[in-house]
Amino acid sequence: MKSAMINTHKARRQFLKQFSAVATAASPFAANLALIGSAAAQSANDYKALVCVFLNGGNDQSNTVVPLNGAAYQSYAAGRLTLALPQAKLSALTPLNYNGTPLGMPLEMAALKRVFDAGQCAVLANVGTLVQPTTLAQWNGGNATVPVPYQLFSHSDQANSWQTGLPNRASQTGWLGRVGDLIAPAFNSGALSICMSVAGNNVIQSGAQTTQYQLTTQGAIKVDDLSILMGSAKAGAALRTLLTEPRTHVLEKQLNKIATRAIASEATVTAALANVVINTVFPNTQIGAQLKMAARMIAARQALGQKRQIFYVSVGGYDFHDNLIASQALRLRELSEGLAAFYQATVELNVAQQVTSFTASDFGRALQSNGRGSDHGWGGHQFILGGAVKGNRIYGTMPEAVLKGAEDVGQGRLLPTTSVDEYASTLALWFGVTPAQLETVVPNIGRFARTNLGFMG
Amino acid sequence: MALFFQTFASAPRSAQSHLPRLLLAAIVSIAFALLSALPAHAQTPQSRYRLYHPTLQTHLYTTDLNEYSVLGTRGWNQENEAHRVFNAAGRYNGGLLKPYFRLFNSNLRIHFWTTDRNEYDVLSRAPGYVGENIESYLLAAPQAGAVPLFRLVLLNTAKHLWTTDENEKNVLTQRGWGFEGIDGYVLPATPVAAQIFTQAQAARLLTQATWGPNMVEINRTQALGASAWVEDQFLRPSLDKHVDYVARGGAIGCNPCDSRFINAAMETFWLQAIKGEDQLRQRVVFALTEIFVVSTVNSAVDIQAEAHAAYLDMLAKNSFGNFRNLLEDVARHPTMGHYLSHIRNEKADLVTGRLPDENFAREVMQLFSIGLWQLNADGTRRKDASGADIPTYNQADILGMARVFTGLSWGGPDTSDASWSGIPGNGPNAARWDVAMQMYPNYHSPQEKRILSGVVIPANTDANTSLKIALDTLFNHPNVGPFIGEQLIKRFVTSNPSRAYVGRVSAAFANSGSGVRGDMKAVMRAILLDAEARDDAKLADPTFGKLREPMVRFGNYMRAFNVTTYDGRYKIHNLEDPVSSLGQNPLRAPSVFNWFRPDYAPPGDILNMGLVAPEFQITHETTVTGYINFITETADRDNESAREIFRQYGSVQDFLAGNTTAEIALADRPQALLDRLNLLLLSGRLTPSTRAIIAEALADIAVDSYRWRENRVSAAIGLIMAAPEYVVQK
Repeated sequence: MKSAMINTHKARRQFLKQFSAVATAASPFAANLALIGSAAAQSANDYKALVCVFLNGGNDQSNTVVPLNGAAYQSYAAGRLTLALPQAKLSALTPLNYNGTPLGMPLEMAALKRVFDAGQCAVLANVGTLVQPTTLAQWNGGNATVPVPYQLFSHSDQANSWQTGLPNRASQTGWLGRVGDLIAPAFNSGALSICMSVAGNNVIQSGAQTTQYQLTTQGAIKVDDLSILMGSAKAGAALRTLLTEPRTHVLEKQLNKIATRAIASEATVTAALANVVINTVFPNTQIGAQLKMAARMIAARQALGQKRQIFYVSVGGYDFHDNLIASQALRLRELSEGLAAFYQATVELNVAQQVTSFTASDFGRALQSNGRGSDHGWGGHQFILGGAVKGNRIYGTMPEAVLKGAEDVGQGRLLPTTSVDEYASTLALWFGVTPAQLETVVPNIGRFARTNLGFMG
Repeated sequence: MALFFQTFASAPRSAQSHLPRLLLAAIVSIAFALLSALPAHAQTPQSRYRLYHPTLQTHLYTTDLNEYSVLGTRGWNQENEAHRVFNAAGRYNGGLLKPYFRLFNSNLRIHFWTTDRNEYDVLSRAPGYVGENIESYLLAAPQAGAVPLFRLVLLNTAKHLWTTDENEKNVLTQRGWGFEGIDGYVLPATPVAAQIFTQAQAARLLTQATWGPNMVEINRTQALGASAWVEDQFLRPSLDKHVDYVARGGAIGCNPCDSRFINAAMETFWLQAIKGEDQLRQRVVFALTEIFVVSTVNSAVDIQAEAHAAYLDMLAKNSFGNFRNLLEDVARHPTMGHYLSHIRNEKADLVTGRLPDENFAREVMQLFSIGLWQLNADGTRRKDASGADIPTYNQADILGMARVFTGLSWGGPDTSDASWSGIPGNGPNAARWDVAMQMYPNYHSPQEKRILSGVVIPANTDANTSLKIALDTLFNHPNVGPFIGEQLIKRFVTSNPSRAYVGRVSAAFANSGSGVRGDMKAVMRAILLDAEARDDAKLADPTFGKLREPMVRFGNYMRAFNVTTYDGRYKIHNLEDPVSSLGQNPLRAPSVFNWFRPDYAPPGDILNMGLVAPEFQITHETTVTGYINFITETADRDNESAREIFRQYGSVQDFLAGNTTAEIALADRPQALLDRLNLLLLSGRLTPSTRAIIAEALADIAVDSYRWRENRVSAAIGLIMAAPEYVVQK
């Protein structure tokens, strides 16, 4: 057991930490109270949030939205071989705007299917990175006659292209960051960034002015010893100085910028989250915990002075070269239950109409089996979820799940029929970006026929 | 040098004029007569060092290594050994030596040197000047192996500069400097690798190349010098085999031996990292785990300690071997086989249309050998006629390469189908993680394999020959040197090496010096002994260096303060939680793309300047805060006492408390305490301002307050390790 001496020492530290917590939280919290007042006075209802759910690894679209029966199922099964989901494992979709081959979703996605059936979730079919509209003839067996994305089928490059929206050139910013640049100044009064990530640094939320803010699933964390370190106020002050003072070395400067931001934001965020109550039960999964944190930040929006919020959550494990059937079932169940709980939380918070979440992934996958899994592809299917979504519908063009089909660039890899640009632009317009501003958000949008795919009400 | 020119180009010129050269006309004959009267005997050259003070905007030269070393911590930028002079009068290789006098101008706080006795005498009597006698001796006339020492003056000032660099002289004379002549002749600086180390220089090498310096190793390394230290490291054996630790359930001599499951792999990783005398190998292994990534996260090998232990042993075996063997051992390793799914990868089924898995085929090119874009030897991208980057391979090459990596499964004497689909176990025929995968010809693709560089492996080529051709093709691709070399530079020395440095490392990869391609020893020598890695002047370059990885920072602590554990086990099972821990853990990268990409640049200044800082990909509000809390908490440990009490129940820090006895003994002398920690943790680069900030904090912990000695030490360690000048390694 612990000795009395050690206990005393630990207790002293604990006491000092609690003391310092009170001391530093006090003044930003007071400032927030003032902010709450002014925000509430304007319009409590003027609020919107976008939530990007990024599936790292490249989700396999062929086993996510699946031909339900008949010849279409047979073609699918012929390409998939042992990867084909049995018909008994599929649950029929009845989309309102769709007359094609009957489709189903795996039973593991029951929670999301309920939201789909109820009209708050839509599927965007065969969306992917494109430099411009591209036909199979232009693809030309890989010797494309038109510009195509750099390094197709590479995880890092394609995830980057999805996030920058610029698939054949280097970009320092992502399209949600650029949305943030345009929207934040007019709507947000707090110092906290409009772009918040619960999943680490990403490109999609980097803007020219917008710097993403990182949260944990437990909220913001506090530097413990800023007021008192080893019993000394001067040592605590020294720690603060060292972490926040200007530096000339570029790496040190960057480090202290981050630390300064962390220290400044933590008190605000912690105070704003302190009184948040969400009764919706989230699944005890990584994605569940991340989405719950986003929901809590939505609940805290007024205290944060934010009328527009952009969240990024992300989970890995979607690179299904091996063990596809079992791994994907697990992943899709987590995704489905996490998204459904998140939607339910927005209903509870009375912001269902104002919050839209959407999925994205590195790429889709080849239909062709490698025996145990599927290899890197291109276009894939994504979900859009929220009260403002015109759901129970399928957007884009649902491809045949068949080898050598109309979009097959090889082994059942899909040439996208809808571009990331069109997907992004539809979401950006809903969020409040004007048509004139779209070229800032998605610079290549002018090359594509549609700026609005119609899935947002 | 670029930095130096920049500083001077923008420097305000002093109004004070220097003493006219004319007044100081030399009376050479007198000096000459004096010197030639001395007996002629062989003289030993001695190093003369140059420093620069950015505030005073002046240079200082000294033959005193201790002075060079101390001034490096007092606001002076060290600019390395400048040249070699002589410590006594006489002759060197027949050439006459003449005295070199030093003066100090107390008004300007600058030094001045002259071989002109008359000038020395006149100046010594001039207001503000103090004569400081003979500093050293220079050769009076040109001779073989000697170079002229040029003297320049910043026009209309009393500031002088001495250089043996003809180019520096020429550039400066176009930028407001006047050439005043040749003071004498000196020997060029010692080659970097053979120079005598200061303690700080030894600590810096250890910081770059090991899990962290400690006092014993600093002193040993100082005596060896850089080159000998590296050669010595090549010869040092590992403590143990990781697979043996796992099989035993603990370290050699363990009792009880009850380390189980994946935790055993983490323990043996840390034990060797912290306690191994083969420190360079331990860091190379760590670097290789971040290039040839296998992980327990989202992985088919998530709990198998043997799998990861065997993989670490394989990397250790190849650390100082040949890259070609490393590449093959990675490709044939069952742990990699499971992680990137090419174990039991089958040839195409021409009836059903099933194709081979492309996973490993893609990543062995993209991540483990050549990368996505064709490179020049200096790491820049090659361009086609239209100026566009050129991909190294296309999807058709991936299909061909996927066929190559079919037919591999468990190694061993048994090549039956039962072994092909075998599972690891304990029986005599059980599949083993420490045996390389072998080819099962029935499962290997007999089809033609078109791989990169136009290489075509004909149909029906035997399985092992196919693999050999493919790996030889990758190994001999001109990208490997720059692609792997630049990544290794980034893991040891700096995130932004000069193109020339990358080129030198590529050249060492291409040819070890004795005609061997891929010699990892030659690569490591090229990285660690390069002038750019060893150059003290780089310490003042505001873009040089790298962010220390969180795991390495903790390693630094454990080595600096000789962390031992009550049972010899380093139970560091998970440091991944960014809230309570470091946000990074061995063998738990989120994907085969590691914790960070080598070309990651955080938005802001670094990105805008065209620089990269890979480790910033995992550096954000959460991990910065988590680290500060972790390290201040780590430093806040009561030496032995807490460890003994908390060992069964506590957090990682509780049973891994360091031994700070030597530091506690200095608690009543904060400057001495800071000197020690400065050397251990900062290679002597603690800035005066940070020193002052910490000293003030330590003084606030009053003598005779409760546990004041321990608290001062804890505060000093915590503050230094939290300081950005520590977190960013130079």
